[in-house]
This record gives sequence, structure tokens and C-alpha cells, in this order.
Amino acid sequence: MKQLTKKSPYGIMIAIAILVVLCVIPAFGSTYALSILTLIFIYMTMGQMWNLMGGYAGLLSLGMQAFIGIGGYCLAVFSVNYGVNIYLAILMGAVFSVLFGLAVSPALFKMTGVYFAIGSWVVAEALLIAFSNWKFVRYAQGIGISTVYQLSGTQVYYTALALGVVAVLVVLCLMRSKTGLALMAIRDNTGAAEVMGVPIYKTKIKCYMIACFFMGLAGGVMYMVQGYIVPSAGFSIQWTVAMTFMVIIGGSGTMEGPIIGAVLYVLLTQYLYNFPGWSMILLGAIAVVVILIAPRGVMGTLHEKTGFEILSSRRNLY
Amino acid sequence: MSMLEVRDLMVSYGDFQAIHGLSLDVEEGSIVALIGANGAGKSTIMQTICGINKPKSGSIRFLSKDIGGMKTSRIAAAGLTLSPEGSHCFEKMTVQDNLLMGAYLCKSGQERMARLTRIYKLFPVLEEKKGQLSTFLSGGQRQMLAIGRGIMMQPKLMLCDEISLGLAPVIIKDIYAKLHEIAAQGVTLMIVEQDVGRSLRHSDYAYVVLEGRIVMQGKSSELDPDEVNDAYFGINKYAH
Repeated sequence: MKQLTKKSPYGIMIAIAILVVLCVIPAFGSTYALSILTLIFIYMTMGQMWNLMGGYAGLLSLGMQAFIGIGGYCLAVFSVNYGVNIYLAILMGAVFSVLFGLAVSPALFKMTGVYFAIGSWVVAEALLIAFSNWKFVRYAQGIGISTVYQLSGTQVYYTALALGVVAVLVVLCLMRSKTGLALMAIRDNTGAAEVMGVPIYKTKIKCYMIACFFMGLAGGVMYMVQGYIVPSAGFSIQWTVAMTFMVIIGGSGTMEGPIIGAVLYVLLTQYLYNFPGWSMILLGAIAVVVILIAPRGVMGTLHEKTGFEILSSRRNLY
Repeated sequence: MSMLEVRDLMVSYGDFQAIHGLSLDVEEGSIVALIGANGAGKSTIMQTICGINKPKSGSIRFLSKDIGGMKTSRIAAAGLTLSPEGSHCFEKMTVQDNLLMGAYLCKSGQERMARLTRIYKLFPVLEEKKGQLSTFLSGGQRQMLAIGRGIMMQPKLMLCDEISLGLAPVIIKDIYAKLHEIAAQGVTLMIVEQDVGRSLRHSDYAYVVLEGRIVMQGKSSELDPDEVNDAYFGINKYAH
């Protein structure tokens, strides 16, 4: 069989070329194209984080939407109620996400596997109910955010691009570090990882904190684009459905998987808007077909068959 | 003073008591064998020593430090590791990443690479397969990987659970030869084995475990294999 670690010598060049193109696109791209790309970057960030937890660390969470909601609400409350700068408000959303994640993790990480998945979902649902009944955030009516800032499509585009690039780099660096190795070891065999001296709880928390931070950021940027937040949207399980779809279609446990998944997801959902009522069924059918044909996702299957990868999550030691 | 001292150890799984007041010693630089049938409690003893199971009572001292009930990762940091039964590898990681995981506690990258080179010298087949996912290895190769991963840690004491389980005789012979090389490098070993003859040939000291108790012990060269066999199955005077 093929050695799985053959590295594409053009990997870095391809990555840089794509990045350069993305940086100059606002100069000639249409508003519509920019808004689509903006969405892709945000979804890509979410996908990367879900992949970091589910694909690399084996922590299947159904509750990461909690942090999208927290990010969105922090943006709304701080910028609308307190007049905080919009970027600072987004950053505060990430900080609050980490703090909240830290607060729930002692209970969450007592559970593993499906129990962890359900537990994390319960936390997100609890937040949804709490925010729907909280006067400070105007109950379930939601908060309009777009009234307090004037941002051009280009500005939003670059914000989302920066977010996406940083998220990819952080996951890449993490996975190339010893902690990344330990995360994969915990995923494959927790007991064996522990006898090698890996502090299981601490390592899981580290990974979770990074994911919480970027989920909070992604939530903030997402609601900067959407301009209006209500609890039923901010804390919706729909976010997790989207993330899972992206990672599974793209290829879990690969760096490029969530990127390809995000592109496919955003383009598909845009196109499927033309089929109201059918869109979710079609999306689900596509997911089923892909899983049957390529169970390891687009990138996973490509990598398995040809050894091709652009961003290797492993150091080149060979 | 022994490297590992277990005194009056009791271990229970819920209401079921698996180990009944067991004591044993492992001298530095020796190979100690635990002999016993299925369900005698050998794996439980090993898992309790390295912290996966918690003792109900009794003491475990490693390098004169009390490690009973300590966290597994801290026991590992003290220099005690386990090569688990059924050679649990990290299935979706490459052979090389599996080995590098063994050196998780080692801070210097250079040192990790040096250890890796030594393991590849010991098990050349692992170097040939280094880029492959460990799930594609054969049973013998997986066992070598599990042992190699343990050695990457440079432990002072390594517990090897059922290293010959399900392997062809020629591979078992090879693996035991490697174990002696490892022991010669200064790693103290405690091995679990079901084959009486093989355990006695490859160890300095042996304990026979029956239903959670030590029923016989002695220098491997002085133990009579027939007597050990009786003890193993709990025949005659060894019956409880």
C-alpha cells in the first residue's frame, strides 16, 4: 500500500497562491461573490474547530453552537448596549466563550463518547432557554446589531478571511506539536495514551479551550454579517449539523477537509435555496451518497488513493 | 530495597474481589514473570500497579515512592509504563507517530529522534513501515510497536502484558530475544505469560498467581516446571 506520508512539494506554494488570490479578490469581485466567500471563511473556521475536536481529538460534540450564540450575543450586547468597538466586542465574545467553556468542562469531561455528545448538546439547549427568558438580552425578540456600525462588504470580507486563515494556522500548528500527537493518541486509545504519560483531562481541556475561543470569534463575525441575533438562531443545533456535514463531506481528520467541506456546504445551501422545503432533504441525501461512495470524505479518500495533501498536519520527518 | 514493592494489595471490581492481599517484589535489573491461567488476576495486578485500576487497600511503592492510587500519567512520569495486553496501538496514526507518542514526556526533540533511531535499530521492520497506519500491521509487528513505544519512554520498569498472545511461535521467539536486548540496556521488566516453560526460561524470578493470590514463587532456574504447573491449575496442595 501507499505510504501515507508522501508530501506534496507544491503544498505550501498552492496554499500561498490561494491566499494571494483571496487577498486581491475584493479589487474586482462582485458583492455577491464577496458575501459568499465571507460565509465560506466563517463556516470554514467552525468546521476546522469541529474537526479539531471530533476529527483529531475524538471529542464528538453536539453543542459547539453554544459558543456561536455566546459570541453573537457578546457582540450584540457590548456593541449595542455599551458602545464597545465592534472588533473588541467580537474578541470579548471569544473570551466569554472560553470562560463559559472552562466553567462547564469539569462536568462535561467526566463524560466520554455519546454521553459527552449529548451532555454538550444539553448545555447548548440550556443556554437557548436561558437567553430566551433573559430580560437583559430582550428575551426571544433578539437584538439588532447592524444599527451601530458601518462596515463595507470588503471590510467584513477581510475580517472573515483573517479569522479563517488564523484558525487554519492554529489547528495546523497545534496538530504538528506534541499536544496534537497526544490528542490523536487519546482519540485512538485513551488508556494507552495515559500509560505514555499524557495527562488526559488537561490535554482535552486545552483542545476544547482553543475550539471555544475560535467558535466564539466565528459566532461574533457571523453575526456581524447577519446583523441580528435571536436565541433560537444563535444557539440552534443547525450550526452543529452544518459543521458535521462540512467535516464529514470534506474528510474528518484532515486539514483540508473542513475547507473543502465549507466551500461545498455554502455553495450547496445557496443553490438549494431555490428548492424551498426540499433543501434539507437534498442536503441530507447528498451527505448519505458521499458517505457511501467516499466514507473518508473528499480529502480523506483523495489522500488515501494518491497521497495528495496540501497542508500536512504531520511534520515531515521521513 | 526492591525497585517495586507491592504489599497486601486488594483490588475489587464492584462487589467482585479480584486480588486478595497480594505481595510481590521486583528487583532492579531483573526480569520477573507473572504466571497464571486466564482470570487469575495477572492483568489486574499490572493495571493496578500502573494506576489504571485503583487499589482497595495495600501499598504499592516504586523507587521508594508510594504510587498506589496515583494518576496513571504521573506514574508514567516516574518511569513506569505498561505495554498493554492485545498490543493496543494508536490505530489511525502512523507507526512513527505511535513511537513518537512513547516519547511524549521527553522534552528535547533531538533526544526523541535519537531514541527513534535506536528503536528502528532494534526493530528494523518498524522502520520499513514507519509511514503506514498502525492498523495495517500484522499481529507480531503490532506487538513490536507496542514494546517499541514503551521503550521510547525510556522507562525504568516496563510491565508487558501477554506479549505472546495469538502470535506464531517463530515471532514469539524473536520478541523474547528482543526483550533480553531491552533488559540488557537497563530496563527492568515484568512480564505476564501463560506458557509456564517459556516464562521460566526467560525470567530471573517468577510468581505463580491463582485466583488473585500468589501461590508459588522463586528463582526461575530453581522452580520445578511440574510443580509450577500444579500451582498454575490449582491442583493438589495448591487448591484453595
